[in-house]
Amino acid sequence: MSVTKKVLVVALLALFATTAAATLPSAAGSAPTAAQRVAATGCTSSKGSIMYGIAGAGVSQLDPNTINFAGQAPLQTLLYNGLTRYDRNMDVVPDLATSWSSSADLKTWWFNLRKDVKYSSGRQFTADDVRANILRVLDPKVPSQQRANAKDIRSVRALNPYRLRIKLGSPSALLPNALVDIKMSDTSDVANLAKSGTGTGPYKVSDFVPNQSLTLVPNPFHFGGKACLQKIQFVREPDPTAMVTDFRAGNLDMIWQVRPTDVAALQSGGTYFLQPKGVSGAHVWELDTTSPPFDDVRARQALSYAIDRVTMNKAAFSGLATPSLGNSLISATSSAYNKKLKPYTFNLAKAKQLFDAAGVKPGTTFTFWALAGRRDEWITMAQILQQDLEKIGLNLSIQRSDVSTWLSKFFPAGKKYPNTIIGNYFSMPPNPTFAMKQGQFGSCECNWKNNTFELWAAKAPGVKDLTERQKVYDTMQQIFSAYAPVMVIAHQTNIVAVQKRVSNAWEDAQGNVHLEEAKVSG
Amino acid sequence: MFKYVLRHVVSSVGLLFLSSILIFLLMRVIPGDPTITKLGGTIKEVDVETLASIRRQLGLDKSIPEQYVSWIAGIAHGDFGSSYFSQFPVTTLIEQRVGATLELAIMAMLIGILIAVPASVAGAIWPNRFLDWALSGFAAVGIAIPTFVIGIVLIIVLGVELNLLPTQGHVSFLKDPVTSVRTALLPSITLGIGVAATIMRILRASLMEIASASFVRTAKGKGLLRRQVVVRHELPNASIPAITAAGIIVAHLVGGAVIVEYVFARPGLGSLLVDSVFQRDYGVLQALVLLAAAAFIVTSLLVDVLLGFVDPRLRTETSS
Repeated sequence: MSVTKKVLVVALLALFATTAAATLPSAAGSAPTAAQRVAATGCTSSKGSIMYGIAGAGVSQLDPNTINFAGQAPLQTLLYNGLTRYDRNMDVVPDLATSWSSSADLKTWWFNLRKDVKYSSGRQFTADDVRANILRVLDPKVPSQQRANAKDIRSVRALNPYRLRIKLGSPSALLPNALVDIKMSDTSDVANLAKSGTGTGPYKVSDFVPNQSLTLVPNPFHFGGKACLQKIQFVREPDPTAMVTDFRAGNLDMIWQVRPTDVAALQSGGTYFLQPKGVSGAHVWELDTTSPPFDDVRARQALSYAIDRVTMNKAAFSGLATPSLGNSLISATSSAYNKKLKPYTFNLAKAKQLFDAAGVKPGTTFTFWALAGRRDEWITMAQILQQDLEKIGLNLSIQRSDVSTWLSKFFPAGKKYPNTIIGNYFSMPPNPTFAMKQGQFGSCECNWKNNTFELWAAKAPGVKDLTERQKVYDTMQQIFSAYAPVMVIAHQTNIVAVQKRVSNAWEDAQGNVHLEEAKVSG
Repeated sequence: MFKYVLRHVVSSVGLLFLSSILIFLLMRVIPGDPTITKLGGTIKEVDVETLASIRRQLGLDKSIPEQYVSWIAGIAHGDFGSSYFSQFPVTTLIEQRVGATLELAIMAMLIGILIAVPASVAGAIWPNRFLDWALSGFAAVGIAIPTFVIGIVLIIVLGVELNLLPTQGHVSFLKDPVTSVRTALLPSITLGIGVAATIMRILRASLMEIASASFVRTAKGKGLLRRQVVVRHELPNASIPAITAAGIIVAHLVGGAVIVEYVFARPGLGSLLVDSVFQRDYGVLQALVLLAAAAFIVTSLLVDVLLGFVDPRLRTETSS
């Protein structure tokens, strides 16, 4: 066999092995491939540094399981690991767990853990740490967004230092997915976790000025190869304009949440943008479905018809988003999208007819409630709606406020906000089951309760067969679209601009940036 | 003199105490709730127990008077509390950032004085000429233009277009003095222009008023040069109103630092204050506003004491 043929055969075998590993059903458990064993970085030495800019808000604390700001999502994989993680194809693969298996009824799961893992403090990581982290997430006193997807966990038991058993209250084929976001922080020092950021990831904290800057350096105890960079610095920029200016001046290597309107200006000099595979996040308008006029489904449908999603996409997102004409929580680009959904095509006459039927009188003024200093695209969208509503005799008052005032109007679920439309962004997990939880009662600030939707939502995780599960998704989307408790305007991810010297950074479907393998040249 | 100082110290402490009550109450009146902000809108299915638990952790479950007493008692013991969000003690947060603000304030003050004093003197030596008008125009514009506009113009021209100076960040002076001064230069100029304009306006008016005083006429009569009359006789006497205005200048520096640090992404006390307002981080916010009030009150106290020394008439008036 010639050298060329040998190389070809090896390459094909490697390709086959990679594909096979990626397509293994998660519930069947998976032995890690060699590639997965050095999962984290793939680097043998640490070189160079990256300056990463975040506009408007900064990193306020480092506890991964009480994270409340999407801008600091890169830290979740730089400082920490979960039992499982998403790869670039958004498949769930082993992280600190080497393999897993479940009982036939999908109610009991076993996880085997890596034995070579240490925290950045030098302490050994064991199954007790997994138990402590999961129980902490499940503790109602701890404000953890990860609890929503893991709340069905009934018990966690360390069978030995490297093997774990988890029991669920009802069947779920998606436990490995739910565990991606539960990060294994050092719970032996919870009091200082928000400041120390002690985890098992490739980097550790060197310097932290809350809301301003955070410097990470390689974690010498990391199990998966050396950190690729000597330093990663997160800096907070005052606003999107300043952030873009600093990026153009070369002071920043990457910038997060670039305004779509800035994309054209940045498309020069080798700048490129991260392209996630699929998009799960969506710009939405929330309504209180228990207060007038949006307690009437006709008023909600009327509003949906009055929203010119196509024009909004052009004006607010420079055509970079995917309009949600079917008003679905699932993106129209996703394979899980129900293509049979009846579109809410922009139609002011129909909107007026439905508003009239719902008793919304001409001259009524709605309030659009948005954030100040951030998310300018929401204002563009609101201005388009404002002009369109005027044509049918209705008014829209656009109000912006700081984040605390903005939140206090509608959060948490259960608050009344009549006549108000809330601009918001749902940073939804890529798995449709978890994404659709955003519509559930108690989760959605829309206060919508539909028993059929709730039943299907409860059933979805336990459906193992993918075809059957798709039918569940189709039904749930059908119900959500018809009742329109939330106006889904467009699916769009966070735009991340990158200088050409940076390579290997990537963005997942949720809009989270991954820098654990990022490198720099020059 | 002792009684004069004591009276001012007692009134300053009283003023600080009143400020603390006002700050504390104002924080509770503005809309927003740190408990909600802590959850960030991303944490779903928040139940009553979670909210109650967070409120308990933050000490917000107590009545407002109880919260105030607990806060004041903490301060009396040197404990200013911790951030609701980062969990860092407020003193650590201040310690992390005070260097950047002090450096900015000192440099802005120096720039302000270096511009204002020679410019005012030049205006007094050559009054009603083009230079005098130009300097008066500069003072008017310097006061009228908002600080953030000056900052943005400097960023675009000197930072981005000419690429002469860094537009953001901070490096400790002790670590790297050259980079530290370079990063502080643009924000200091931005803030210094306002300081210069304020000093110029006061000093210029004072110099004009003193120009017709009898001792100035005497000095002129002795045959001194106009330059010598202004520098040796007019300037020391005209400085008293400028010293009196130190409180106003400190207030300008504090207010200006909030905006300038925000525009230049400088990790100082100003940006910490802005964040604590947006997050409703009461502990941090109260401590910072109290610190600013204390800075203002202490400066006013020092000015009063200083004026008491400079002008004996003030001591006599107070005693009588």
